[in-house]
Amino acid sequence: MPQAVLERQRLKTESAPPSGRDKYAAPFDLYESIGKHLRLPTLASGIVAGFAACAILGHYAPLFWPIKHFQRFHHFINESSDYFPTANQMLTVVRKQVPRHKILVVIGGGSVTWGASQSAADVWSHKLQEKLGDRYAVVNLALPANGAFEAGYLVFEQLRREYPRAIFITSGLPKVRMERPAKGGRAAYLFYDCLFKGYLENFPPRLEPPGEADSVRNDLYIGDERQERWLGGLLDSFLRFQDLWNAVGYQHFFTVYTTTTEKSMWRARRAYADPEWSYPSQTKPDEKWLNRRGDGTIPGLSRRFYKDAGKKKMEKIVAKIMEEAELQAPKDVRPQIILMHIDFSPLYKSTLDETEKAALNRRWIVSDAYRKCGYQVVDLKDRFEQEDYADFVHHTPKGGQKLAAIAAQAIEKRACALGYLR
Amino acid sequence: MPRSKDFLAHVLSLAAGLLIGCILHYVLYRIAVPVNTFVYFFF
Repeated sequence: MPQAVLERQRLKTESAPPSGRDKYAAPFDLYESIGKHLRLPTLASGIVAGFAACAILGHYAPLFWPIKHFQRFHHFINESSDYFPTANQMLTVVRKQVPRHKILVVIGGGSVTWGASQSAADVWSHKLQEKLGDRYAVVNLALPANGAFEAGYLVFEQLRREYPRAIFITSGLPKVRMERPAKGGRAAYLFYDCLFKGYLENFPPRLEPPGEADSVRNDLYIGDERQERWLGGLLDSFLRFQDLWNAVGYQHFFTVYTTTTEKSMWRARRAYADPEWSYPSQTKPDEKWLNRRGDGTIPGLSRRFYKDAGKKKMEKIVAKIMEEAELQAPKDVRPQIILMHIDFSPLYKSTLDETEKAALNRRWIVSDAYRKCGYQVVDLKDRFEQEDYADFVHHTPKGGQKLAAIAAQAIEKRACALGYLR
Repeated sequence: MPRSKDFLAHVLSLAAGLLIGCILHYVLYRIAVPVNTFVYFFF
């Protein structure tokens, strides 16, 4: 066929309207286009550089964007709104607020020492600071629902290296045992955070996996959660994702949806004020706390442990508590620790029958066991009146004032014994 | 491909890479946060 005819046929085919199949062909192929424009080696270097930049920034983020005007980890900067303050954030708060020449007083523990039922203005730690005076600097690092040796205690082990004069004060719920921080639960993240960043003293016994004694608490959590927290802490020690995104969440924008902030989930947490308000004294006991089964309730406590156990069994129980106490903190830190063993509201105690009351009173053996292990324990037994309580265990501002007076006395005594006042 | 277009492609690739790197870092944070719910992760 002559060349001219072939050429004419080619032109005709090319200029013809698209056939049925061609009509539906994609006019623009995204993947092909990306493939054509992306340079894979550059993309890979970008990914590595972006990741590394974040990790490096994470090392400095708590310093760049520290928690300002800190009073306590209020609801919007604690786990109740899915904000999990890191060890570095806690340390930065203390380092910025407290000069080295002062006697540092770190408050740890759970909701009682955190100041539940007391507004930011009425919180007991302010009263404690007032009572102790300028020589001391009080920092409230307690977190609601944390054990006596969780939250603030974990960073205290690092702080006592930095501050030559430091005292830690905490409170324990009158349970059979105080909680051990290495176990599971939400607070365990801070334990592994501190562990892998080298903030904890070398104290191998507390790293042992939870044994039978911890079974009650273990039942509450998913089995492999402890492992997850362990891995998270290990990775975070060099990648610093918790420090970076927590600081970003505080300073710029927050990214986790929570029911408490559902209408403004993106808002930076620094924009929120402490929402806790001061509660009045409770005049009628909450039936739920009286009837609910569980460790934290008063009848629950009496039922579980404090029922007439007999001499031999009690001896066994004391031995077990001491075993637990030995695992809480290294021996050389214990002289700096003050543990307040808190009491229940008389309003609730009055609802118990004589057997239950007697049973409940047996819990003070926990204090003796801890004393034998070298901790300083302040019993708060019968030191508060009904009007000092806003519920079965938390104090009203007036109760907080009393607590501050008791704590101040214990702290001054300890500071004297440790030679801090010389 | 002209040189300027090639340069632009490198810049875009780098920007995309940096973004992906940051997202991966953020994903680690979301996994590590003790909120393990699937729904929460995507919010």
